[in-house]
Amino acid sequence: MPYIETKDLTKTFIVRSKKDGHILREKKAICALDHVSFSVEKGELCGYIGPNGAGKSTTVKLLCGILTAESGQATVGGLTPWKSRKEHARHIGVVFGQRSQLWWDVPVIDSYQLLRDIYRIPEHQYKKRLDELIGALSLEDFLHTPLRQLSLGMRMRAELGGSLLHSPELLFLDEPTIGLDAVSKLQLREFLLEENRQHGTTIMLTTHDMEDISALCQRVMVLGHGKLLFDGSLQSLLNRYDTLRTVHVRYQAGGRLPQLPPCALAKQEGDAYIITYPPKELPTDHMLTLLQSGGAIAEMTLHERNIDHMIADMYREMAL
Amino acid sequence: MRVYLSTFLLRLKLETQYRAAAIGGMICQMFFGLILIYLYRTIQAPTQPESVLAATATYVWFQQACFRMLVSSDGELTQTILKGDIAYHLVRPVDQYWYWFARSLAQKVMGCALRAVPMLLFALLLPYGIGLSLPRSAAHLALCLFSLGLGFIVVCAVETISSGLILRTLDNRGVTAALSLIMVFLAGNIIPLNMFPDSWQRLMLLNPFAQIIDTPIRLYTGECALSDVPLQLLVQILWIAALVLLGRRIWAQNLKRVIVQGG
Repeated sequence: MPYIETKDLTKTFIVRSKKDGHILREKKAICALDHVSFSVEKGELCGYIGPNGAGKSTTVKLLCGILTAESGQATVGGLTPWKSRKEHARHIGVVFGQRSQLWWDVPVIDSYQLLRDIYRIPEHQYKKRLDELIGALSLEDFLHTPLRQLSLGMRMRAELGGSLLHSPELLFLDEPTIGLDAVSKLQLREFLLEENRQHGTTIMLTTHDMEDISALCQRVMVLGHGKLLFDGSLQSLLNRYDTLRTVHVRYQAGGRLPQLPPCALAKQEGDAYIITYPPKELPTDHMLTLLQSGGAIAEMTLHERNIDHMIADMYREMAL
Repeated sequence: MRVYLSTFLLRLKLETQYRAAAIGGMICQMFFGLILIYLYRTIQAPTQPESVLAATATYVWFQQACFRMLVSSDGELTQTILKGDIAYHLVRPVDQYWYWFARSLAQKVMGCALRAVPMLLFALLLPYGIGLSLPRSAAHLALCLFSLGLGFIVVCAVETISSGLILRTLDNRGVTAALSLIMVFLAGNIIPLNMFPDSWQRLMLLNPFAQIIDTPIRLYTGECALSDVPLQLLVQILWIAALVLLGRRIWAQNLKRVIVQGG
């Protein structure tokens, strides 16, 4: 039996809106999740993407037991999250990138000690785990500083530490790298991979940062308008949208760009050319021969398409 | 149990950080206290003996010193609900009611202690009739403190109901404004409850907010006869039971229909 299983999960919110000039509000039902079914095995690292308002956070909240589903079922480790909220909460950890769980005016360590008592972590286990997290997230410099005096990156690390103190089996990450600098992001990804490798933690990651997904997740689910639109490996998703290559080329003196077939688009930038072409119609070796016919090449680089562009194409195609 | 104790202790510690607020509040409350005492002196002096005036002064000092018990909704909880951080608290393996109750209790106890202790000491030094009088007896003092403990539980039960309602309305202003006014008035903070006509008093003294601070004061001054004490304490305990039951129901329903703000 899969670790997480959802079947026809549906959730509707009532939104009240008031038109200009009207006194009474109108009620409108918004379907945040529309019959979503999927399953996740224990130890999987799973990406959950979709444009804003797709229902990602709603899914996470349902699976955490914060919200109650309207219809459909969900089980995590055999429990229905919103029915066995307390029992379920013991086994999961959550990071909401835009929210804070630690106390604002007290040192980080005080919040951690409260979490230790909330999750009833035995003292020796707590010490061991704390040391592990201090090392992995470089927390030692600010463990005794009140949260309000920390930078955003430090705070995110401290928050993550707080979510992992009780060694959850399942970790939900809702935009965990929001606002982090490059070094912190890389460090965080490394840490998450290690956590998954060492403890077999199942991780469900929601993010808009495609780098996060490609660094962490073998599997990705795409959600749009409350419906599950894609479920498979990141590679197979990208293959469908990875239809263009870009080549940057600069000629030595005397060389100039030859005539290209109409499917290739060329743009001049200084003394360099940027050419975008579909490798399916114009194979790369053919393209190279063409370029070399223009003269001696001084410098050339070939680029894959930016993953963000592909995702944007995909959202467009799915009419999201 | 340990969870709630730790929550209580951490919130106590947090409250001690707001010392400047405590000093500010204290000055403000002393100012109001003195004004009210002189106001009631002017009204009562022509008809009442000095002992009544002294009892009124004692009443006012107690009310002002414990003002923090009444009006002090937990700003952190409100912020948590407004910003949606409540999501984190809802995924804790704890009983949400007692979790928030413990926080409220710590906030009230420490917030009140920081202000009340220096204020009451100051009021003891003032001359008879204007300052705080000594308790009727040591037994009365002990009963007052016990009853004050129950008063804290009453007010925290009220507070936890109000936070449960804030979680529904998703905004604190309506609930807090309505509650503060009713609470301050019915608790006897604006007009001492014993100044109401006798026929009113019989009903007024049974209201839940009178159990917070009015009952302890009447035990301190000896206005409540020792033979009536068991009945008084019983009223307090009955209100605690009723308010806790109501609060737990509200929170249980909340958890079924909660909405987390802000995505």
